[in-house]
Amino acid sequence: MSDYTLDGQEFDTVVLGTGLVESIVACEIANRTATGSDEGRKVLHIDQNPYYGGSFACFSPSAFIEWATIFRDPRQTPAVEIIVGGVSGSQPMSFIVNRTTPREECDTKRPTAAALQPFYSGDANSFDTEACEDALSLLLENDRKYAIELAPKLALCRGDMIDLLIDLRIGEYVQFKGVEHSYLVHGGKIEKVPESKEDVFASKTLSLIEKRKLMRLMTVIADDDECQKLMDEAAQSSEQDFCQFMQSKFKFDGKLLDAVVYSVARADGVHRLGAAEGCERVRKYVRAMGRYGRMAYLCAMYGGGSELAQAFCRLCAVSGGTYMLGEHVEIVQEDEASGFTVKTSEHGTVRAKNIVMDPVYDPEAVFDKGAAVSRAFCILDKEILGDDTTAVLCHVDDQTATSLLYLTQATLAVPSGQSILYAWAPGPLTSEKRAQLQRALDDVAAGATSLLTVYFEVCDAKCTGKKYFGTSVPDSLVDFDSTVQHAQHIVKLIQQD
Amino acid sequence: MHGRRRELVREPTVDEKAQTKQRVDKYCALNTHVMELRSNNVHTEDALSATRRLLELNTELHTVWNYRRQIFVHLDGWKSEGDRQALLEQELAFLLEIIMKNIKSYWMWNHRIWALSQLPSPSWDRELKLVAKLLAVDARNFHGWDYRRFVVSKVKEAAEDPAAVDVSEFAFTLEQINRDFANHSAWHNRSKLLPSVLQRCSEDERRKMMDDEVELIINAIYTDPEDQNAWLYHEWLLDIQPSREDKCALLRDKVSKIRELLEIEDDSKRPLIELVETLVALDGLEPGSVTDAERTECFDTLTRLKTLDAYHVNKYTDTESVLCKRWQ
Repeated sequence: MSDYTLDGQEFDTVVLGTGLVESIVACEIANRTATGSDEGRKVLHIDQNPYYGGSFACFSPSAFIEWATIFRDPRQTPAVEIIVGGVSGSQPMSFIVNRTTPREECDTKRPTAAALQPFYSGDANSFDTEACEDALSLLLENDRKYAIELAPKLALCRGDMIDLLIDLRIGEYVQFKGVEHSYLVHGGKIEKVPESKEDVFASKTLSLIEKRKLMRLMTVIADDDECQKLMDEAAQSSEQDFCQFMQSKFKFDGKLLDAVVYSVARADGVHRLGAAEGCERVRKYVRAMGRYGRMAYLCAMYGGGSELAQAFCRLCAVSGGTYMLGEHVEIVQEDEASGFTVKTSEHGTVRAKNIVMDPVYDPEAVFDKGAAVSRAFCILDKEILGDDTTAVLCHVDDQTATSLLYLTQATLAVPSGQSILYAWAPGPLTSEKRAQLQRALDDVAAGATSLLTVYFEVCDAKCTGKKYFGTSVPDSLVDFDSTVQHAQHIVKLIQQD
Repeated sequence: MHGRRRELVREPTVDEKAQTKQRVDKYCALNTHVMELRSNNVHTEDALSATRRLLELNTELHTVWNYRRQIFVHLDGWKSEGDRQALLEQELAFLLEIIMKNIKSYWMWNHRIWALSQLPSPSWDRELKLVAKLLAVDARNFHGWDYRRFVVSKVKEAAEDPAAVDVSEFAFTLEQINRDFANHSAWHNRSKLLPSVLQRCSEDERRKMMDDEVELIINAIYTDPEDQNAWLYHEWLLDIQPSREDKCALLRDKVSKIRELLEIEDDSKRPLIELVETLVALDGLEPGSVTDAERTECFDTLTRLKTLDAYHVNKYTDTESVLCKRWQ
């Protein structure tokens, strides 16, 4: 449709980037009005990449390497460390991809050893092309069976994301599997976090007294009145953080305390988790269980952020939104009165009242290393925590906490027999942070070999001085609710205009 | 079935009333027809299908089940083993269909047992699988558990090592208890199997098994002190103790475990009640074995219970006066 032009059209909102936040915004604006509340909210949704998902995108191994070498915004993710192989006795090879090449200059789609060679971090003369090709081919022969997420997240069974999906009836587009297990990794040992009375009863690692204490907390949280009393008490103990509150009120300590503070309330060891907020998170967690089964979280098949973003985009399109992938834009003019002029690279120039964008579309966006999230993943040759299952974990040591997610073919994230382990933590990827992520991955993946290990960071950014509505990068929380709240906040701001 | 919400009852609409009347009329006509066939001793294939249609609508008609059995016995094919097998397999399939609709029909289960008893070589393994599936759907259904005990007894008859069957059943109950330890049927079945499992053990193994059972109970009590199943199971354990010394030892152990629990949680009603009742039981088994300090402990506990559990204050007062008389 290259002769199709949008030249001269007027849109209410142009959305740049098909990340999850942008997609929810686009969908809400197009859809709510399509059901009759307002007039003329036309949406134009553009992504400069040839794929959906933005910072939530999901890739096969070849596409991931493409992202690292071509599509990534170096301001946001300065470098990607890729470690390939280590199977059948050969040494793993490490590459630091610290620059990107424009798409047009790359001659082949399929990543080859030759394409990676310039980034080899070892001695250039010792680069073994054949070993690299072998290691890559192990991944590439099943390329399409992988779904590697840039920002893995889960959906709380009772939470904003699920409610939104049900409300908009997008539930039919996306499939989920329950996250069956939650683990705490403490002192190098992986232990199941008991989540129900039955788990507590059957646990062989909790002492009798710990069982009783945990049950007392669960009973209080599960009872509306008792829970409210607890929340009120927590709100009054504002000097205490959640960890101290659990110690003083329920006499938790040791790994039981860690389980509640890190695995359930998901403190991240960096930001202070107040007593009231911690209790609220535990309440949400416990309330989420039982809705769809004995689990608190759901994991989307084929890669959550990306699938969900596409589902929202689909609904936006159905409600009249226009879509363009692989299209670059230039925002030519800002006019207080009548909005923006947006020049697309292939399809003409349009006018828009509002612009919502992923900050990577703003050449003058300011990137903040302090507000970064460090991420890592490794693809393993074994299903170390069980086959056909999904698990969320928390690795705790010396006051640092790392979130992990373990996926298998149960959610079609990897081919059968393999698994993928994600690890992430807030903060820039300093050498300490990298070591922290590596410890977490090593402790959990012990006994398996990694086919591909990657480390990178994602810096948040602000569009400064302009009247764009900028979205944030995926945060370090494990569930989508904050993403939905962020999107809904933007929608509200737009609707106020 | 357990775990299902009751449906809200509301006044039926005119259409619904008409529909219901139609169904009722159809049912009554069929019922009359079948009863007529029966009083005329009709034993044909047609009569068989009529009874089937009626039983699909209402599984509780034991007269009709009886009649159906009579028809079967009078059919031409009944005499030949091959034909009988085919007829009964069909019958079992029919029963499978309606089991899911109404798991709690005594007559249907009875009929199934009859059908299996008429088969020259019934597949008890298949029956075991069926009942396992049933219990997976509703783990507390006593029809299911009862039928399971029946099937297991048949399996044992044919088995090379009947005692091994008991052991695997014993493990099955543990699975069920772990799944949901409020499952009274699972605890009950376990108590029925325990004596035979203990029989094959040596003296040391017996000790260990008993300790394991007590550990299971203690785990349950610490997880939920108010759940009655674990406490009840302890009573059964007590019953199977061979001697009075064993009983007393078990009770003494129970008292000390309760005291440990009360140290971290002194406001759970059930453990407090059990403490008093256990000491009283000890006193009954071995008069004079309860010390003065322990007697005071009982009275203090009863006083505490009167404030914790105001609903039953009179019961505790009554117990107090009984103990006063006994221990004076």
